[in-house]
Amino acid sequence: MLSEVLLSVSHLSVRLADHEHAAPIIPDLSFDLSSECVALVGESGSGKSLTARAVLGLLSPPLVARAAHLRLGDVDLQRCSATEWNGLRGARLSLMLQDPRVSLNPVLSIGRQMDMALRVHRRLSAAERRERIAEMLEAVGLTQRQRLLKAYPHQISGGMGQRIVLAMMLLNDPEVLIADEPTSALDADLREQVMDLIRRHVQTRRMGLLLISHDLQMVAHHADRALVMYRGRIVDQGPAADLGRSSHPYTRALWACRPSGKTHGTVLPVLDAAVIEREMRE
Amino acid sequence: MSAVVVRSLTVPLTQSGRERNVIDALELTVADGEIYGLTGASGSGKSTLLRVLAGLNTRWRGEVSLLGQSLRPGHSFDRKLRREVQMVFQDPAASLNPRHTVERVLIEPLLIDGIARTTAMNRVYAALEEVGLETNHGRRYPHQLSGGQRQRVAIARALLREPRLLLLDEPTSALDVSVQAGILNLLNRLRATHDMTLVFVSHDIGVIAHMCDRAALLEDGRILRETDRAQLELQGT
Repeated sequence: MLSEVLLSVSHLSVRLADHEHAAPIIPDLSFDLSSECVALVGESGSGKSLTARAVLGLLSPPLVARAAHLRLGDVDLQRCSATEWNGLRGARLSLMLQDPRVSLNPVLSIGRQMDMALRVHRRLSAAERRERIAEMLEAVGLTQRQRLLKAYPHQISGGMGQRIVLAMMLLNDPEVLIADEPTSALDADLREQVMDLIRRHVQTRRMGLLLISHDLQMVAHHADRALVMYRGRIVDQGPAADLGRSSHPYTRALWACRPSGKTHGTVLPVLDAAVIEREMRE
Repeated sequence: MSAVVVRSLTVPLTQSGRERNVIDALELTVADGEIYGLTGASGSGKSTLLRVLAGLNTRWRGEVSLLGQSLRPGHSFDRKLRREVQMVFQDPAASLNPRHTVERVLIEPLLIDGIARTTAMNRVYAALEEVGLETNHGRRYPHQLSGGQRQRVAIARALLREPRLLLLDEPTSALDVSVQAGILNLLNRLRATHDMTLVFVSHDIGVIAHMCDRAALLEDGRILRETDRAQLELQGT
């Protein structure tokens, strides 16, 4: 079932402002996101995070973004003023980053910063805010809430930090969550747990999730659709579960270069840009 | 001969006034020429164990012998062992001096060993080539290299001392899968051409299963179980 489009990106380009004639970093990129999980995959430098930042209006000079349209529901993101953006980010459009120790403020207690995230966007009494925060922490599976709220970011583990960030991002019921490598800094076991948690919440709230990852196997397991990026372009797309069966040379190489017990004693395929580009032209 | 023999190793750590054992009565034997993997969750003690083997942590109890030589707690390595045991760290950006060119990073240990500058320079160029870098990379600074290239420099630095035991602490965790593949291929090639034992720490079971002859899963400072090649074959798919 195809639901309404939550986020629509049409002909997005990103370039360096003072290099008007140089090739753009992202030449022309379009995708729609409904209440589903769409993954942007590719190597470092393929433009995944840049795309996310452009969508969030977070590019800083000299980078500039242009698009035919960039819409969140009925809002034209390209026409938003700074004040309007502040009302959107963290409320209707949330961003989750790789390392909770970077995304949380180190000098504020967890309780204080969660409270701020609510206060900025909503008019609720202190008691209502406390209740909402408790509810969210419980939803992401965190117990010992009183102690946790008093703790500072350096006192918590990475997995717990990522749960807190997720709880914080969900506080205001956003329509779209952008998660940029949300589990890359975590141990293998925790990765699955945190990813399951994100997916469960996105599904029950009928949100859109734009998942950015370089881990194709993880994406195949967790996302609905995958957009494979190479040098700023979407070169391959389709159901995430079919990533391993893609006929595209770049996707195939990315999938196959992952080591496992079965690749022992073999030379892993390495991405050779020249070969891939030749195959892509053919 | 065994490259690494560890008997009832205990490593205490004092944290906010309380002492606990990060490594607790651990037993480990790594055969000569083997690639041995250490895996486990954060805090299981894999990096601590590696730091003991590298001589970076000398506060321990028990028995440790490397390449047939017994270590004494509280004592740093002698000259010979310092050359024969080399380590590659997770984050190459943090393990290379940002103010030194690659050439200088690589030649310095050789000059300290008393090798003449021209001979040393030739060895540096040979090592750069061996890890898949070009001569002109030698004149660059670490920030001018990609993550994968920086890790190749760190591997070249270790190789130049002609180590017999190479310790690798999450050497590819900071890299993309595609770049990781190149580094793992390089390590396998080097193992075939040099007479080295590798102890490989990674939390990625796929990497361990691809690389290692045997591996140990650590939990709370102990080896929970040891797996051989046949069992590793089935993992990390």
